[in-house]
Amino acid sequence: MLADRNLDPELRPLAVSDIASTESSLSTLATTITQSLVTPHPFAHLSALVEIRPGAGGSEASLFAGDLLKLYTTYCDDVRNWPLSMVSLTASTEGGDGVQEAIFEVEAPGAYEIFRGEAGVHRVQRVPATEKQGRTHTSTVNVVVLPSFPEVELGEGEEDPDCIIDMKDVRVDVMRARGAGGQHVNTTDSAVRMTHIPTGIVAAIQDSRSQHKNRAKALMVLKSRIAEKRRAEREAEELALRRSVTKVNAGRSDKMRTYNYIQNRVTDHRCGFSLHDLPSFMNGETLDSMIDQVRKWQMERDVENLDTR
Amino acid sequence: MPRITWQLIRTARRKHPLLPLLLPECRTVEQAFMELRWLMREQRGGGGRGGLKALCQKRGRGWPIQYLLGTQPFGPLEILCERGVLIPRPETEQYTSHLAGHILKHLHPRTQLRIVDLCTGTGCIPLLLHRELSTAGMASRVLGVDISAKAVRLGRRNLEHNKQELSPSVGEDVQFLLGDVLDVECLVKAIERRFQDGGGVVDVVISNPPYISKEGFNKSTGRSVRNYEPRLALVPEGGDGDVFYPAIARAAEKLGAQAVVAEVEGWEQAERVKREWEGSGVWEGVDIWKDFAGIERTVVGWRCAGWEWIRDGPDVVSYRDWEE
Repeated sequence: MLADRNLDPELRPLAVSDIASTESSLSTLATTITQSLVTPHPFAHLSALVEIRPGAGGSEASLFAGDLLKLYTTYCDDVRNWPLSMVSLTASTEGGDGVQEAIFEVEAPGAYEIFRGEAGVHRVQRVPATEKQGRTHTSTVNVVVLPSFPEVELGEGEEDPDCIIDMKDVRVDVMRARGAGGQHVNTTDSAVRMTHIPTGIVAAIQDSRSQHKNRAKALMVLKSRIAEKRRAEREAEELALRRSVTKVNAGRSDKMRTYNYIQNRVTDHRCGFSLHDLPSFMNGETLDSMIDQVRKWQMERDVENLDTR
Repeated sequence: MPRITWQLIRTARRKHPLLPLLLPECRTVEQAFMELRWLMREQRGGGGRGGLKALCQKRGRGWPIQYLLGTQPFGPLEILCERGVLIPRPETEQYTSHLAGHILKHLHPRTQLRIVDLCTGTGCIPLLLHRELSTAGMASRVLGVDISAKAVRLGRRNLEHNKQELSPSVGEDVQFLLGDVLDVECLVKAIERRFQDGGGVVDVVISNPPYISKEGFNKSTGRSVRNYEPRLALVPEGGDGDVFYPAIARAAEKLGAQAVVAEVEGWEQAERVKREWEGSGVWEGVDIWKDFAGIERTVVGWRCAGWEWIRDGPDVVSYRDWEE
């Protein structure tokens, strides 16, 4: 339209002004499409278990591990108002604020979705407090983020949630008497077979002369088999998850984010996003904007993965 | 019937020395082993008559295991069984609990239901109906009628025997009455007298009458049924398997019942009874329920459109063997 010389001159500015608003709505629409394309992470709704351990760099690494711990605790306290409980905290043997290992749980639904982008190697470049000659050191801290599964504590009369099944999904078969049935025969055919259709799990019980009792028992067995399968699957998933996050090499070169104190900058290497006020970042004030960028990057990567499938 | 081979007997003996005794009736080693376990449990419970071996021998000769053990489970109830009274069948168990669930789904919970069970035998139908309805909070009065004094006595004993599983009001709510279903005039008067105090109307008439014809009795009944269960409960006098159904429907009509439910032999008899009831012009609709094995087991009739829901039968859900 803009290139068309015959166009009414009054329409031209209108068209120009449309470009800006259309472009801005385009980007939001693109984000919406991306979000709807990517299926949410199966554990997105869960609380998070965060583990921080120093990597390369000795006492400076454990000092920075302490800094990261402070970053996350203040972020949870001040920005998110999420309850954080320390699972285990081992101070550095060298004293100071250094941390040998810190494991804490963020007990808020959805915390895993926010924190999972923090997993990986965090690289710090600064002149350590312990450095006498003013040399810049490069050290790393390894962060592991796991979904935290709710502990199942069963009260009296309560059912294990893993056991809960929709009876619509259960096919109940009873053993059929041979022949005409009814008054013609008097064999005891009380056997019951239950099939949970979504999982294909079967429980067959013929122990009692009472079909009623066999039914109750078959349902019990079916439920516990389903719960067992669900637990096993979840454990396998947890294990795979743990392997995939610990696979990350804690070397200096595999960093996913760099904290450069000399340049007063923090850069996330995955999404190429930088912030230039390190003190406010380390106070947790601007961590949110970083997390937003990382999540956007994750989503785009997930869409790319969709392409290649 | 497959022949019992020497190999089968040997396999059975290896599993337990008494198992071969049970094979003539149980036919498979699995079924025999299951029944042996039930018989052993009975022995341990102290209720055994004679030794285990004697029980196995009797069972092998065709004695129904329910008479040997003295009971048959029926839903959550344990029904006492003795010679001279028909053993409750799984098909009866299925449609009785289906009917109770159906009533609970479609009738107002405050309904005070009145039910008559004709040819009640052990009383299993009245007791299970009352149990299922009262557990869900619905009040009911159920009257079981039988021509056999032995059955009426056993019905009353079964009420006592299951008291723990039944609601406290069962003593007043469930009654048994000696009566001849084929003498409709007399039967209706006797039932009305029992229900007099509350308007004299019955809601549902249910029945599992003798329905096997003379020929069918010789041809298609199991040996154990033929030799040990009461012929009175299986074959109507005269040998025509259909004679009870017009009487049941007429009694239901005279008692003002909204619905009539009767067990049949299956197949052609179901169709014959349906046609007969439809022809009477009394019922708004008549339909057939299949049992879990897919056999036409129950004929139901309803008086007005408000009871049309009763046409839906239980689910067909069965299999022949574990391997299937």
